[in-house]
Amino acid sequence: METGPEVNKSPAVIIAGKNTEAKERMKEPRGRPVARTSGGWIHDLCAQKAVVLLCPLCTHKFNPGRLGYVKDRCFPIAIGKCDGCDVMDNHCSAYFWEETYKELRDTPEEQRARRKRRDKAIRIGHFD
Amino acid sequence: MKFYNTIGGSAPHYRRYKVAAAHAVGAPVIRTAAGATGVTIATTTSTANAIGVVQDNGADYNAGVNIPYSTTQGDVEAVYKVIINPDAIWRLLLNEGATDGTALTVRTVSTAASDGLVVTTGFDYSSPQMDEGTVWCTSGANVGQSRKITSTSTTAATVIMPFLNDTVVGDTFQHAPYFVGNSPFVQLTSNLLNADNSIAVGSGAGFSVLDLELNGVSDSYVLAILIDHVFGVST
Repeated sequence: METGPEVNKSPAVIIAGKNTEAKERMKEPRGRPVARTSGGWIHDLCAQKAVVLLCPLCTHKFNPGRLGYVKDRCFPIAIGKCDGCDVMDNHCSAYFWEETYKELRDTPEEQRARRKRRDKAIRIGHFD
Repeated sequence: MKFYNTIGGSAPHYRRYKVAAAHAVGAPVIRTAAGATGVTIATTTSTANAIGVVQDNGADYNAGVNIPYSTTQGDVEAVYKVIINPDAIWRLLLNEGATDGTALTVRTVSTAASDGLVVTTGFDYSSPQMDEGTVWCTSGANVGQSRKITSTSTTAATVIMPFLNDTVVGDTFQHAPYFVGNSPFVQLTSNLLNADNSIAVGSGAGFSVLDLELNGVSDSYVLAILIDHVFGVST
């Protein structure tokens, strides 16, 4: 008798209700759901003030200023999964909600202002 | 904690991770504890097995709603973006104590030193121990100069490389328990976002000090790297 690979022939058990596998999968944070368009998904992220990563093909479709977002100018290239098309890319652009951005980055403007304050403090002989 | 750069100059690497609680933006997270639901928050004195630093507070399907951490069935899972570069440099404000936003205390010279080698103020530099830390001048002829502390007493910090000018009564100085590479610890403030400057040299969480930005009482910083990182060479 010929033997082949064992196959699990147990019947699938489908449980009606809220804990079906499909519904459980929907809760998994795997990126944009199949049913959502990229634009709507990105807007959801922005509504939650989340960091948005976009690959070079998706980034030009996003208008950060309209949503109170700023591009990470300190680090114009970021590594990660594009929130638009779910592709791992080494040349993503990162966008931050403006208020969060100030908490997370030392911007060139801040660095220049600090340098000026330091120069002034040394010139006048004391720091504030 | 602000992302400053990476040692190698590479781009920040973002990953979305499940979390074990509602972690603040800018706080470091560590490997998940047994029984926890995801990456766990660090403590003020330990960042062992660090994963990275939280960059946002989640993103999922509930449009317009920040994702709270919830274990209630039916609620969406809290997932945060984290910068995971093991060589990332983090910038932390120096605070006088565990409360973030507390300015450093001004230390005023009470006894002059004509050799520029001793900074004598009313502060006890031996408790908490500041030996091998840093002292810098915030007003007086030596303003802007810093030196490594090489010995301490109950009233003074001594340096080997003299300040360029004599220290005179009324000059003000600051000190920090940190020095480049020599103090592999930075203690975090209670909100885990910045550095506690009031601790002894060699105590705190696992950071290696890369550099110091020494300015006034409310704008001095330590630049540090998480040395016990799960994605680094040594964990």
